[in-house]
Amino acid sequence: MRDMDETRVRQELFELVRDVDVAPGLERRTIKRVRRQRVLNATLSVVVAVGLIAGVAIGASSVLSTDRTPTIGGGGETPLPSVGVRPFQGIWPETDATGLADTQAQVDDGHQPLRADPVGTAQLLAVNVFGWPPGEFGADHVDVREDRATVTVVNPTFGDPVPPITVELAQLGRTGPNGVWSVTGVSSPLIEVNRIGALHDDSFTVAGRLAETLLDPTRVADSWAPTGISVEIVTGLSPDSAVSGDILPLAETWGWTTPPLNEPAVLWIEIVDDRGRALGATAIPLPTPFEQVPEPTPSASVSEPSPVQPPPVDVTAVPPATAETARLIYDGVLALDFKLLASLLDPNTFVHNADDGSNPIPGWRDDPTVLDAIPAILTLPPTAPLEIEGYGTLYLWPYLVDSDFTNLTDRERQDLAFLGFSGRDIDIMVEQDHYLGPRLAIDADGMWRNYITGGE
Amino acid sequence: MVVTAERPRTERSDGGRLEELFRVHAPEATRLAFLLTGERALAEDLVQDAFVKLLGRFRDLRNPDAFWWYLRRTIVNLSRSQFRRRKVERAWLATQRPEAAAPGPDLGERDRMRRALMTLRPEQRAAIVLRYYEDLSEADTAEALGIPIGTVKSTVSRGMDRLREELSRDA
Repeated sequence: MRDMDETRVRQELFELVRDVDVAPGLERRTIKRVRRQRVLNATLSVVVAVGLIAGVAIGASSVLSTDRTPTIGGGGETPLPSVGVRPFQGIWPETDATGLADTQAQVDDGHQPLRADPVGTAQLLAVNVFGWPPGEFGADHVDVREDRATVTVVNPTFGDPVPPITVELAQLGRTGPNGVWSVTGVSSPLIEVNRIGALHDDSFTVAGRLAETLLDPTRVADSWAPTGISVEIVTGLSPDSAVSGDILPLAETWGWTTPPLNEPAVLWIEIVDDRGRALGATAIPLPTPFEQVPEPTPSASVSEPSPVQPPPVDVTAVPPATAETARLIYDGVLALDFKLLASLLDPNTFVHNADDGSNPIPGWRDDPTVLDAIPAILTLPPTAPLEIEGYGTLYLWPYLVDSDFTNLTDRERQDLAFLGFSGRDIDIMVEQDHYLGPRLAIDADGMWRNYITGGE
Repeated sequence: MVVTAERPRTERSDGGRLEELFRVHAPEATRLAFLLTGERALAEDLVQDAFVKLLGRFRDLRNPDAFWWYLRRTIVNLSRSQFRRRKVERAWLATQRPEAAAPGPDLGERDRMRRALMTLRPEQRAAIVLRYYEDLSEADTAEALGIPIGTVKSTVSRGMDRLREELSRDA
């Protein structure tokens, strides 16, 4: 071995690993972790919106209240926007009075007879919006009261786990036998919208929960499989009028942020299956313009705090330099101000997911969703100071990093739920005896030292 | 509104693909990780971490057919950073839950090579393993390590010098 040439090195290296093989059970453990990680990724991808909305809606201090836990119920009971300007109540097909007048003229000329019938209009919605093939579904319940109607449409091919979708309709122009019916609301027990509103002047956020039955593989039938949550803001009739939209991964809690509009629009949220059909749908007319959402007056209920103030970063009991960095990280992430974020860390020593010693900023710039979890975790307290050799005193957010998962307190469980983790996710962490979610560290001098989105 | 956006693939659509990828690539990944870490238990952890990291986001890979390329690069990156990461994140945990670092059975002559490899700096070890075990060109090694070709040459050269020195000392 003294005479080390390349050929000899090759031989030695191959000899060294001659009997190295995959350990028994490694495949099972690895695949299990992969599947679990996918669950966590799906959850983490919506953490920030849920956290922010929870903070905006009820204040950081009341986030931990068990009263916050929503129940899956009819969409009509969700806290829909109650402020703003929306002159036309229709959300489909027409979204303004001019469009409705045009349709009424066509109906008067003998065209579009289904539009003069609430059930017919609901069926058109099912075909054109829900993607249900004609003949595959029916109207389960019809309640017509003068110029208002409620129709539930059901697709029997989905089976019991998928309940009917409720369609609210109204005659918004002419009333009576030949008046055109318009859809004014759509809701499904599968989708709950917890909160919707303007987060800042430059962003609009919606967040909610899905029924657990959709996430339970044992309840999913062979004939359908949910693949994602479609969220879209639509301003008109055609598909081109979808001004923004996304497909979110399936998760018990979800959230979505988009730039606000200054024109009437409708938010459509659908759970779509692998054939593009809607298993559940909710449509919400949006107040416009969002910037006009008023802040509460002093006489407003304490349960309705300002919708424009972000939750405070929890910097209690940390040094001033650490606190300042935490606040700047929070602000930088919300604003996606990468210049600011870069100024808070040393790329040569910063630890992040890439694990390759590289500067994290380019990667974050390419995929800023990596940062989504940060505002939420900064609203929780940090750990007690930790002395790490070579790194000095570190404060890790959230404090759950240092929790004893074999003996979780109610508060810790509530905080994990606040971060968006389902009961199943928490069980996994208990099993692993580790916090597996996102965490970051800031040292006592205010240097941002790491950010890991998940894992052990 | 018509839902026409691209649908994300789900777990249900994997159809055993995860298991297949693991079975095809795990043996070679384990051997590579062992060469880079010198410890079987650590190699297992590293392979597991790499698969989790990669398969967890497999749908996002630009070229899933190049899975081994991604996996190899991930393993190398993880191995290079493991000590730094542990310092930051787990040093204090390790004191609470010490884990035995079992190097594996005594392999005699082979163990001398293993120990010699472990004296190299992580980037030297990675460069030598990629060049002479994975049989990558200098250019491919540079790409895998994310460093210039010139740096690969100098790193391999210094690593080889160090290997000779260590093995001659052992002899």
